This record gives sequence, C-alpha cells and structure tokens, in this order.
Amino acid sequence: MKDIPRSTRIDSGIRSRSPLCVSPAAILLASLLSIAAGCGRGDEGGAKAASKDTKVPLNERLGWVHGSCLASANPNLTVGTPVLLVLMKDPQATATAEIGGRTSSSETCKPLLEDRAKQNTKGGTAFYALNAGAIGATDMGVAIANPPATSTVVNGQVNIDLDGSGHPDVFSSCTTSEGIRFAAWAGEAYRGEPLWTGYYYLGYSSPANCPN
Amino acid sequence: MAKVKSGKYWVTWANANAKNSKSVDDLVEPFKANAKAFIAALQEAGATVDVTATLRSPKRAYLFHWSWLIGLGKVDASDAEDMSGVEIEWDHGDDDKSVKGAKEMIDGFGLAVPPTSTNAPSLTSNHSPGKAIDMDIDWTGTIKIKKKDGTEESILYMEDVNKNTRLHAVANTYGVKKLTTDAPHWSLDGR
Repeated sequence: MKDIPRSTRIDSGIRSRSPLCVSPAAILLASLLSIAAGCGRGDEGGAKAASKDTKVPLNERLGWVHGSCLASANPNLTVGTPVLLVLMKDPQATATAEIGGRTSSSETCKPLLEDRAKQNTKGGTAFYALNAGAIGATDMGVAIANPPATSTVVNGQVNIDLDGSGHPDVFSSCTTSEGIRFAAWAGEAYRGEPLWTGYYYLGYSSPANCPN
Repeated sequence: MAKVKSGKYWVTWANANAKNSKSVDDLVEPFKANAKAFIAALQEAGATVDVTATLRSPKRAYLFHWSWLIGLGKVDASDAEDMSGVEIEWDHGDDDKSVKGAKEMIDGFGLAVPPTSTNAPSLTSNHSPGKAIDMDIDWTGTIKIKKKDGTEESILYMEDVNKNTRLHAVANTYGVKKLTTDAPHWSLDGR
C-alpha cells in the first residue's frame, strides 16, 4: 500500500468547513451562538459522544481493513485494543473487533500478498490480525482504534463523531485504477478535504469508480 | 489436456505459472527505453527506485476477471471465455459448485468485491503489454534530476508522489506519464 493516512489536516483540530475559528469576531459570534463545533478538542463543552482518544492524531487511530487484517500507521497498537470497523457494505455497517497482534502473514493479511506487500508496507505501515467474529474474508472498511462510544447509521452511512466536535463524520471507499481509496470526512463524503485517507494497493487493474 | 475445475487449485497454479514481472526488461519499446532513461536520471540524482510491477500476466488477469464475475453471480459459469494455456473448467455442472469454486479464487487472490469495488478486475491494462511500470521513488530533501534534454530540475521530495507535479513534468520529458490516482503507477499515456 501506499500511503497511509494523512494527519496534517486534522492536527490543529480545525476542519476545512469551520472558518469561525480564525478571527476574534468569529470567536465572539461562536460564543454568542453557543457553537461548539470545529474549534476545539473533544473535552470542550457541548460535544456529545466524544471520542475516547481525541488527542491522538487521526492517522494513529484510523486504518483500513481487508477481512481480519488491519493496516495502520500506528505501530504501537497493543493486543486487546478495541477496534470499531466501519464496513463498506450497502448499507454501511459496523462491527467490533480487537487487536490480535502484529502479523506478516499473507494468509492472514491479503494486503501482504506477493504482488501487494511492498507497496502496502511502504512508509512503515503496520499490519495487525484482528479478532473479529463478524467479519468476512472479503469485507473491507475503515477501522478506528479506541473508538468513540457511539455510532449511528443515517441514510445508509455510518456516522461517528471522531473528534468530539458534536458533528458526525462519515466514511467512504472507492476504486482507483489499481487500488482502493478509503477516507473519513467531516459531514459529507467527497466534500472539501478529507479528514483522513488510506490507500490499499491491489496489484491488479480494474475500472476506477472514484469521483474526480 | 483435461480441464481442472475452478477453485483453490488455480490460486496455487497462478502463483507458480502466471506470475507478474518486476523486470524493466519485460517492458516493450519504446516505453522500455523511456522508463530506463527516467530511472537512470533519478538514480543519478540520488533517488532510490524500487520497481514492483511491470508486465502483468494475461493468464493471471484472466483468472481474476472470470472468478470475480462468476463468484459474484454477475455471469453464469457457462458464459466464461476460454483462454489458451489455462485449462480451467469454470462450469462444474452445478451452479452452486461453480460459484463456490470461483469464490475460493476470489478469496485466494484477495480480490476486492462490491460495494467497495463494483467492476471486475480488468482483462487488460497498460501493464498487460508492458507499457506501464509501478515503482517507488524515494529521496530526502531536494535533488536535481536531469530532464531528457539534459537540463536539471530541482525537485523537493513529497510523501504523496501523486501531488509532485514537478516530478511528473520531468518524467514527461522521457515519455513516462504519471497516473495521479495510484501512487506507484507510471505509463506511456498516464493511464
């Protein structure tokens, strides 16, 4: 795989759709209107269903999965760490799992097959076996380590407040010419810059369906 | 030669008999010469280049393509086309068994399925005739890479190679075009 998730956009905690943060007048307006979104961390007032781990960068909490194999930029996930899986089904669904341990087996991890391993391990991506009873071998999706307490499904999409802002975040996947692109978005998929992306190199070609 | 029914056997068979190449020498001209020249320029500038795919096996692509379609019920097993050199029997004479055999191959090959991937693996691509190359290009900081005309271009390393348009421009001078959706992929036409 290439690329693992990019965290720079979310390190400041400010999303691209929250210009209220950038001027004193805007901050005053936000206070008057009791708007809690977009400017703070999960421990500020007004956030509901806050993430357990809002101070940990998203790229260390989010990864992608193929079956019971998790790819993560975080090499330090410990055995037993709870993981919430956002499965790219129609409609999307969630499943719970926990970290079973690092793995280098292509039997456990299809991303580590011979034609894929070099690309998918580039950049130090770590691969973990998951203990997850309800996941099929062909299931793919986004994984959240130490996930928030609640998630909902709205119009077929899983909604999770990843950073305790009080606004739901959503998830997407699509096919590029040679891989799968996973992403997390603030509010609406494919609008603005994603909060996080992950790329799974498949090592074969197929017609792409990712929006331009 | 008697045909062998679809199933796990063919995953093992493909891994032994229908492997993809990582050799630049398996590319076709003129793309081969172009790719070699670009790679040489990168290396001369101090970059490391790791080639992970060049010519892909048409037989492997054939097995991916039809196992996906049959295993997901998109076509009947009897609709699969034959391919010389691949003595696979897709139709077990029983629909459930045919689908099961194809599904074993989907699982074994690790193919992406709907809704994540809504199209079958391609039978052909630029990799099929040797007109594409997947490679990782790495360096630290800024290096000076020669364009084909010999003039140098200073290029800062970017973690996301898809966004490194200055690198793409240098590659263009060699007739090597970047596909900007898939980090390792370069080809004669950018597809």
